[in-house]
Amino acid sequence: MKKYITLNRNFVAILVLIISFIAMNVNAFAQEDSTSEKQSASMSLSYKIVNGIKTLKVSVESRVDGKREPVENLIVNLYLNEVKKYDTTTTTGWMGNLLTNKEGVGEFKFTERFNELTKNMHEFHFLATSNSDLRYEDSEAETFIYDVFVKLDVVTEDSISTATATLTKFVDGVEVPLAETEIKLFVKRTFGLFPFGEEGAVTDENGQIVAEVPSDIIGFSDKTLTLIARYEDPDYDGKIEASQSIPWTVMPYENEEMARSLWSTGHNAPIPLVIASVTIILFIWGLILYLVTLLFKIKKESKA
Amino acid sequence: MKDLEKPHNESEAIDMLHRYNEDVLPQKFGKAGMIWVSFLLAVIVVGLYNYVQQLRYGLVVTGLSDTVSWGIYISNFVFFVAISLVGSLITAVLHLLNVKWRAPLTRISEVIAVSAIVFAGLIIIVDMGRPDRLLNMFIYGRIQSPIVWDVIVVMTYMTISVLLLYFPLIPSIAYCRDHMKNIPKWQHKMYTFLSLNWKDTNGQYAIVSKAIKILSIMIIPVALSIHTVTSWLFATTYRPGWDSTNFGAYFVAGAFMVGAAAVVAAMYILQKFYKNYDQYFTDKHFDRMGKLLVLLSFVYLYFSVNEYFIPGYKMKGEEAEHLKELFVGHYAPMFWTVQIFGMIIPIIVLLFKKGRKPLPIFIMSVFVILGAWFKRYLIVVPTMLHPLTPMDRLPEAAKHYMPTFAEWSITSASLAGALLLITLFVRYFPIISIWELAEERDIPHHTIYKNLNK
Amino acid sequence: MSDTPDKKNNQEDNDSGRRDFLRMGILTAGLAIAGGGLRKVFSEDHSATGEKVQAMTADGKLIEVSSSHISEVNCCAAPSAESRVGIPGKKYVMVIDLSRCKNAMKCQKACQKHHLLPTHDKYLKVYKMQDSPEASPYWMPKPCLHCDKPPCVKVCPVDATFKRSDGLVLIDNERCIGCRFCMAACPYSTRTFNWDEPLQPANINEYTYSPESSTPRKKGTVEKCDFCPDMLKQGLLPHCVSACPNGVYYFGDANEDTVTNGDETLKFRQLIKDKAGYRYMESLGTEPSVYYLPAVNRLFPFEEEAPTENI
Repeated sequence: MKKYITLNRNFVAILVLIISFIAMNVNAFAQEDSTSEKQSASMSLSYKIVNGIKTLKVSVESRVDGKREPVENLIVNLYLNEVKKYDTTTTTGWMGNLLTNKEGVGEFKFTERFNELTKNMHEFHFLATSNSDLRYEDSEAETFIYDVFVKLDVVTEDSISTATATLTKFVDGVEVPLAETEIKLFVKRTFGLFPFGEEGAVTDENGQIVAEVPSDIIGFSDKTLTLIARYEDPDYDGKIEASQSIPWTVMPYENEEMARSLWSTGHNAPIPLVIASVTIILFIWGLILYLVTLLFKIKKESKA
Repeated sequence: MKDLEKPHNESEAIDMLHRYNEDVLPQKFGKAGMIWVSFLLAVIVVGLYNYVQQLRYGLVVTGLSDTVSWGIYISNFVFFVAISLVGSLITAVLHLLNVKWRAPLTRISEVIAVSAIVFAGLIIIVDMGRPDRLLNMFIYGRIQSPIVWDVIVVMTYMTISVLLLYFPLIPSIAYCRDHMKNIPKWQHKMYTFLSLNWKDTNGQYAIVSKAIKILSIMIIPVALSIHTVTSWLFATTYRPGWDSTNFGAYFVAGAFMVGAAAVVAAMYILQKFYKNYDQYFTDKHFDRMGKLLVLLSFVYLYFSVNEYFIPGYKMKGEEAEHLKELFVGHYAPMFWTVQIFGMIIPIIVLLFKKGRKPLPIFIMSVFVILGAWFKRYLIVVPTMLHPLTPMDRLPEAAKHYMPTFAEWSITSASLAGALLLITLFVRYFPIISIWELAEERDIPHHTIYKNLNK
Repeated sequence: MSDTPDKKNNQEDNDSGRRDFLRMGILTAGLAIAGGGLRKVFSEDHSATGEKVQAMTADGKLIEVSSSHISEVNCCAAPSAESRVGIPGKKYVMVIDLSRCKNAMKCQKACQKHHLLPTHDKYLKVYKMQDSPEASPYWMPKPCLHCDKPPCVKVCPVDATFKRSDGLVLIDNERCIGCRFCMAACPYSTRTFNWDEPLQPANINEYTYSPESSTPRKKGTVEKCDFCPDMLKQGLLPHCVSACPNGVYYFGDANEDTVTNGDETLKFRQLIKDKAGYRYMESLGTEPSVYYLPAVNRLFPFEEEAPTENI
């Protein structure tokens, strides 16, 4: 019995070896086939911190005939490791994956849960990889996010609003001001950001920059104006922003009411046109109706 | 050829009317008639087949493109609208002017008008991308749109034309009802139904006369508006060649001319097929219609000169490109052929008394009608090929317009349909209104009444 | 960095959860390798529901990673009746800086893609213009000008094309009867017609029709540039604007007096004043919503190209 089992084990071992050898070869051929068609893809990471909410963005592009094309539906694995060392075989630090959209973009917004889990971290090192995709070659990108804070305060006095932006960084557990650094100030618009303040202005020793909000700028229809201070990470593609809504009295222009006109809807036709056409139509069709009654009269007349 | 005489006494009148009434009773088709109808039916069947294809595959079966988005369907529509003006011309204008010789011409001109306006309505539906949504016109109709105006006036004109055809027809139908033997039962029933118990009473004649008087007056403004509004479909745009304040008058004048020509052609053909008709359509009638046609041609010439000379004198921007294309460019051969054969030559020929004999005036009328059709093509298509924006970087198909076979076939079918409608009318109804003829000769109604009961 | 107690915990968590990662990792790898089929399942899932992918964190707990599958074509487009009302308080304008256009055609390409247009139908055209024989030619992109007094809307018999309070001129292809009067009336040759059954992607039935996305396209009806209201509703710029590599197109809200080309945000009225902005065929009185800045001090020399169709 025991002997039989041993034999059997040996047999199984040999079988496994043979099969795996075949499988490896097949796999190798298969890989060769698929790699020959694979296109190269380039991945990039950027981040944005808006009022403390962090978003990591992955963009993937490939070059098709020299033109950049977004890579859609690509699975991107995201790793976070505070020890800055990844072990892809064990998937240590693997956070999950995301899928790129039509623009070749995938985004990871730091959730509250995630923030709670990482609340004592002041430095994030992200790695994004895509492996073994059938269409594209493997690609990866990495980025660092440090805890840099932008604060925006607006003071209104005598109907003049002054915006003060402060830039600080977490160094060894304490916040220190960042001097001589550029911060941009904007007014938020429906599309895009309208810059104000001195162009290229840098922070003073307190990490501060001060600018007057242009008084003629048009606010939103809810009587507010949203201001934004932005620091752009010079090393990594990142933007750190703080925004502040303030009461504002300069209102948008108002649309004219949709008047009765030749280009308005049928219900909103110019009154003279309606009166003229209805009159003419009623008159003519009234006559026609009368003429039709005459036809019946002819029929009646024969009996008389 | 003898002219219709005024009878000297009552018995002579009764005799004459009886003879005339028998004369104009509808007759069965001969061999030629059957061939003619079969030919028309064949053209219609081919057209219908192509229209079904168009419904299936869309307007892609036509030669139209985003540049030339209106083609021969629209120019054909304008042609039909123009032809239909004849009804109001002969019946109304001549009636109000108390022109005596018009009586034999009234009914044929009304039939032409009704057929043309019916097919104008149909061909415009053919041009629609979504005929299945036709009802949207009535559900969502927008009074600011010239198309809505056009739909209203076309429907109004169609109704008035039908009434103007029908009222004077009632006594004639009654005559058929009472005097036509050996006809199928359905035909007799139709006459009975349509004759509205007509008994030739003075009261009935009074009603008919009153109706005709009202119709003759109201059809004139309506007829003028259908032409004017149709011209506005073009004149309300900014395109060179259409952007003209002259357009309404220009269209009305052209319509009067081609309408008169259509009546002349119909008179000639009827006279050829029904030998006895020459006593109704006499040389005198041709001569007078010839004079009328010359007059109307001069009016049209006047408006044409205005339409081309003034922009041609200024030669401003896009207008210049368009005009050069017509005068010396791609469309020049067609343009000058139409102007010369469709207007100049008829004017010259008809100025001479010999030119107003039946055959020459018939030939001139055919020239005028053909010229009128192509004239409308020249109004619609070359302008579409000269938009205000640059024509570069367009697909090749959008730079030219050549109607496809399907398009020609559907268009021909509509023309054949109108002709068939006229033909069938001639087959089943008297084409000359004898009682109006009698009235014209001051024969009292009670005489006609006696005649009927004879 | 010193090991804080927290961090230790984290690492312990890490260890304890390692088996879970393994599982997930293998699963992911499996997904990636299994390829097409599964990935398709993924994409369809997300496009339809906009749900988020559930995945594990380094500590073995669930986090959410957004699938961020942005907008299918008509995610934000309203049905026909609702789309007749404009976006409240807005008045959209476009400014096209002719001095920056070098005929790159990216605008048209993006437009074609977004509106599911085949090559022969174009909402946006780029014309070669030359104002006088001595002047240098230039390229002029021309979308629909969304006139404030639109001649096309004037003539429509059934209210199929309409002017909204936010300045947009749109078409309801479910009402259009295909008379093509608007095409004849438009002096700018903006409108195109679906002469046959339009070529569209196989999954077109998944889209619901909206005049705000102009899709799905309908046979026998007229269509044109719509200023991408489905994008505007998301606070995004029309596709031509964001696709332009040279910042030719500025787009914005005139009521807010701001236009932007994505990089640069300017005051609309000041821009028109300073750079002598004009509107195409102003003399017609159509009052377009699109302004042009003259082709002076150009960024690129005019390069003639072989006469082609647009793209």
